[in-house]
Amino acid sequence: MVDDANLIAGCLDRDPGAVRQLVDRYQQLVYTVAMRVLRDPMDAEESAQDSFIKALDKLHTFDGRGRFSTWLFSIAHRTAISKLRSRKRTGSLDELADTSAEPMESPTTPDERREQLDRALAALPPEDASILSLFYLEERSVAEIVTITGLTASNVKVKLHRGRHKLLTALKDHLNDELWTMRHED
Amino acid sequence: MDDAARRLKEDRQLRALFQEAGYHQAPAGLADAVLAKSQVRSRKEAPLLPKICWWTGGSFVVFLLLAWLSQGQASTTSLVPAPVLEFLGSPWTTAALAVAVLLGALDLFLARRSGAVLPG
Repeated sequence: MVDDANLIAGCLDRDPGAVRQLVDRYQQLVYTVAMRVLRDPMDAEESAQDSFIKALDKLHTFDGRGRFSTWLFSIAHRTAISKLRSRKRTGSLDELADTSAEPMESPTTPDERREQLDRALAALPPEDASILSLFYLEERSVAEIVTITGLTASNVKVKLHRGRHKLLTALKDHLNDELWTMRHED
Repeated sequence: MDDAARRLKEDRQLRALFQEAGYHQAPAGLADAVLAKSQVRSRKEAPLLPKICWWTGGSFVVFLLLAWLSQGQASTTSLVPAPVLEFLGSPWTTAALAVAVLLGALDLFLARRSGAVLPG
């Protein structure tokens, strides 16, 4: 597999093959960031496209000191947030109560658990949901999330703490705690 | 179970849940769309005259200048025969050269403004 440095060099030369490989490699990550923030497949797709275009335009500014994915995440996150702001649509924690109020069966399949997680995340403010996703899915450190989001470390920690608490509250009612605890505990 | 242990356990559970849920499936054709957009953005009008023409033209002008200067010092050591210099010095030739330089400069200016990379 071609490493990131070679792909970047190819992209700087405007090699279509390298661009395609780069997009293929990171499209799920970029699209997931966009979906967490925008929660709309059409908007997320547009945001993902814009993120890659911006990344290609600014690729010469990537100094290679940090991880390329962190740099790309930063562009994807900020593009999605910017799009969200322009859309003037903000998430509200109030939605959490509405979601939780709906009677639901305890999910047993991975798809159902995924749906539950998506619904719980959708009830959080978009930026909090994105930060939680970076922390738990991407396993990014607080320092990396600071780089990606441009927020302060204390702000990231507050958002993580608050989001985590809300998420656990929302999920506890619906997830079969024992099932996935037993499955994933040491 | 103390707070730290409980928190650790909850973090592990959340991480497991996120990992199990994984990524959102990106729509098919995202790479094609990005390629199409980036190609549209990078397809700029290149100047009609490549760099090599400017270098050749510039060298020719310098040569003419040197020839003209050498003619002024001693006609016998002139680099270019006198009839040729006479022809080049005529108003028609001067005007044609001036127009060529002007159009070339306009071409270059328009290409620079569109961000095209000079060929050659």
